[in-house]
Amino acid sequence: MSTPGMLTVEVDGRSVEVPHGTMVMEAANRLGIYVPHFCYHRKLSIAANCRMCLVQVEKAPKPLPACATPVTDGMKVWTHSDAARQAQNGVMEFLLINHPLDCPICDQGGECQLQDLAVGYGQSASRYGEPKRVVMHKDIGPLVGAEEMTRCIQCTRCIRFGQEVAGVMELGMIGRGEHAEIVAFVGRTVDSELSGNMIDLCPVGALTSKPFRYSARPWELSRRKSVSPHDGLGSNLIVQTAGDRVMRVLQLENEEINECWLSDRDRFSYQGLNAPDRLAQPMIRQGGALREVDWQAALEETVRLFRAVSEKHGGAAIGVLAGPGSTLEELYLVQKLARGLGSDNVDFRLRQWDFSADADLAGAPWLGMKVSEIESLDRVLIVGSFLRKDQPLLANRFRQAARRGQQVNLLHVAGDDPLVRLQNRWMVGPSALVGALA
Amino acid sequence: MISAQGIARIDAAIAKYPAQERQSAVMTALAVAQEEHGHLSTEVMDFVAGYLGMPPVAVYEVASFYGMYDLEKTGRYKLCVCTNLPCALSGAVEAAEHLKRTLGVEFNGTTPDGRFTLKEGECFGACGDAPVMLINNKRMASFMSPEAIDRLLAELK
Amino acid sequence: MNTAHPPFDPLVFGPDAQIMKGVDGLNWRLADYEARGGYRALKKIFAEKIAPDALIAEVKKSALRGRGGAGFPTGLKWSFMPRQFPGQKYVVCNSDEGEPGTFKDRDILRYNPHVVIEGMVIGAYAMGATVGYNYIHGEIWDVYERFEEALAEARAAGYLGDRILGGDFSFQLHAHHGYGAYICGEETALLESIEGKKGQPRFKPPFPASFGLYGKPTTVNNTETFAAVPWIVLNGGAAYLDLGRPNNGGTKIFSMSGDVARPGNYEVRLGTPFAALLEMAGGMRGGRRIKAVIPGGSSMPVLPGEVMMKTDMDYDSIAKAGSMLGSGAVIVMDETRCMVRCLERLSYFYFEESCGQCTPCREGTGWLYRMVHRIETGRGRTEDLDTLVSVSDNIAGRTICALGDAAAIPVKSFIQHFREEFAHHIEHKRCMVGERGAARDKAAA
Repeated sequence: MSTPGMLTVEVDGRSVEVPHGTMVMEAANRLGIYVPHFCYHRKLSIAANCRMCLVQVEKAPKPLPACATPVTDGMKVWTHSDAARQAQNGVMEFLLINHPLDCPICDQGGECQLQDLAVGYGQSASRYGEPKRVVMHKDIGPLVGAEEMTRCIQCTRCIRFGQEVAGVMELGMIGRGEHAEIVAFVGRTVDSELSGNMIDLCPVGALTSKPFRYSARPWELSRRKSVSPHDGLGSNLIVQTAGDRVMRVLQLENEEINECWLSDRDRFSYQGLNAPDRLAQPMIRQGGALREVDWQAALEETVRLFRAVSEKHGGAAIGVLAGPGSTLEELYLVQKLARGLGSDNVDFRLRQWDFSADADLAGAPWLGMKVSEIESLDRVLIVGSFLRKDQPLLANRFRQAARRGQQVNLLHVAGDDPLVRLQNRWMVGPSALVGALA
Repeated sequence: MISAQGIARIDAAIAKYPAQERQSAVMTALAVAQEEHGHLSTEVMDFVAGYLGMPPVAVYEVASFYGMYDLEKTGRYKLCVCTNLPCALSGAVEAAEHLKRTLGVEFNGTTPDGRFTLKEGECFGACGDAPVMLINNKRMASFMSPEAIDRLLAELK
Repeated sequence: MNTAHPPFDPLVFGPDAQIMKGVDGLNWRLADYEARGGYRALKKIFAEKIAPDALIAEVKKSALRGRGGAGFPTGLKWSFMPRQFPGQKYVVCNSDEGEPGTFKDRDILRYNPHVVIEGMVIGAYAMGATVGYNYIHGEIWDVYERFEEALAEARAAGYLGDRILGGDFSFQLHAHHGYGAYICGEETALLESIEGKKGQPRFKPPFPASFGLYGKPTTVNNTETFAAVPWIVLNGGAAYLDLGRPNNGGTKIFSMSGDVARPGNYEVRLGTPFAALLEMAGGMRGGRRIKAVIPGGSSMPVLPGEVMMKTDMDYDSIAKAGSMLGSGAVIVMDETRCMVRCLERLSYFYFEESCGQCTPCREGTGWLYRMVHRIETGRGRTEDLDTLVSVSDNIAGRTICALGDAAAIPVKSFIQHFREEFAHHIEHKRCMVGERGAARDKAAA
């Protein structure tokens, strides 16, 4: 018997208790059973369109999609029985008949859901001898590449991501039947500040990273865990490198912070590291002209200058400003250096000019709660933030919470649209901001 | 972009649905827009999107999904002939061949004078009157024997 | 409005017609309908204060089954609507008639629109819905416009709108036009379409009775189903059942098309022998022999002519014969017809009309069509027939909606019953029907 309010379901002979409304897919996942799928994604609405997750359910006359079939009490499911396998193999065959055999030149190769599952569910030779579909490539902007849309399997993850997470529907599926294709509106691009997540979501090589295109194979890259330097959120990243060169940046899942998302700023800013106009060598100005030197010479010159100032005016005459995007460890080292030089003048607030409130501050100002906890708030007042630009992933947290009933209010100096369902919006001139708050 | 009468028809459609569901009027809005402009250009779809508060790409989805919308320019008269099985059993293939021969175009072709565009249609739900043709989406012509087609073409200037 | 129809005979719909009784093609207006006894059922409900539950019970008793294709018991469907639901509920009429061979709803709507309106008002009252929509196939624009006129008449006469017939019940009914998508005949695609989206079917559950139009409880019925309701209310469920056969109550409009002498709609009692129905349609055109019949619209299995000649036209008899009554669209093919070519056209239709949402239908319908097309054009391969059946099996039952099954069923049934024609096409790269005809002509000469 089930615990009151819970349902018992047996998947592949093993039982699990799940709450009402749980889908077979989630129940299977709880048992560690993998059901093959493409369109299903736990952060997106259920589409049930790829049909890869068809499973056998007791008393059901036909296979049912695990992602969209709610568990009923006493239900028995087989995810790998002959009937289930037959359905899954059939779907795989359909997915492959119009899919190009271009894995060797596809950027997704090696990390492709279709490629992986085809190993388990596909046949070595195709029965399909008819002409294959060709879908024209699209230009949807500088970040997300839609260069090989023939590879698309129409799972609509990218569309649902736009509608549900990014808060703006920039991609859609036009046409119907075999002619259906993913597009942006005529002449438009995908401009969402979260657009790069569509690359991660795409289970095939249809949407790929334009900056990364053709530059490396995923299995050749080293993976280093890191933290985003761009905002206070600290999104978790994986930095992928070849030798000493950063090749791309991917999200590292952390449900408490960035979930499985990454803002475009965090994802694509690595390009700055490799930019041709980046200052990569130290330079010393001599006689009004900058001259490249090696690090040893640069450090010696720095020491000489510090020493000159300190001897002439004392260590307190030295001030040290550090970039606010630096890590805690870097900032610690900077202040250590400064204090070693005899200076207490260390700051990171490069864009702030009014420090009159400093006396009232105790400790560092912070959110006051975990990032994930903001979704459980009843009411929120956001003051003066270009939310989507300042904190793209916080904007998503509010977007999701507002859909569940959180009252989000915005007091702002501009008509910026956070793409969040707002309870109230109040726009005032910058000089009236404080008055409005009072 | 749309005439005052056209807007009135769109508004009448909007009034059929709950106040927050303006999108429900998109099919009527696009039908009205196509009547006035001949086809649905990017600008027209953009206008409809703005008028109904929809993302433009969602309007594009609708315009490309339903077969009676034209995203490309057509001739003055769009002739759509059903060739589905029940119609084919009652002379639709001959009707289509007759049209192709007379107009000198294939399906999806437009006559050089811009008068006619010929299209192949799927079931109109009028199989008892086969062969059937649809003229500019609005007028159904029944029992289209070659002679009836000739009379119709002469009438459409 | 089309006037090209041959001179109208009041009996053209058949002597047992109930929905089309007294309809002559011109008398569609409210006054005509009232003169035929129209809106009496509605008046009776309010005069006798018949409770919604009693109405649903009566419809259950009538054994009225959905006339759109699935044949689901209407009374049972109505009883699925949550009774105590506090919010908005909807009734929707599915007049998106696009199943090849089906053209009955068009005639009901253009010749007798008020019977649909009355049926919808009664259904709305029985299910506690206050708003309804009639979704009309886009290609029959004049019928849509006429229905709008009929709605205006009904509103002006107090049969529709606020406080109907001066009572407490209000019901707002609107017409919604399609614009060329067969898939919108699927009820959840139709709801999506009313919501202003592409007509892509929703996965079920949840069913419309719990999550329908705008997420509210909704019941979708076919035009002919609603049209049968006033008669049932006036004459009782038992009387309606008696018109037909047990479990197959009432009359049914059959759309006769193809190789018959007088294509058209014929309303007969369920259980009428197919041979009698064929007789009403004037028999076979040109006196040719019957070869094949699709008895319920293009999505249903084809049956050999000789099987059909022994079959009665009701849900259970046709099922027993190996097909389905479906929407009542009877496509008749004579001995001169090539079955490969017939199937090719149907397969093209499902390929064209697949919405593209789910994999087996999007990818499989094109595969089926291309194979049948190759066989028809003399490029068939021996293994094609097995592949056709296997691909059909991989589509059927694996899709979000029934269009996948609809594409697979013709392929499987055509091959099942006419395999030798397909094999001949593949082996000889040409059609055996023509050869047979030539041989016969030679023998006759």
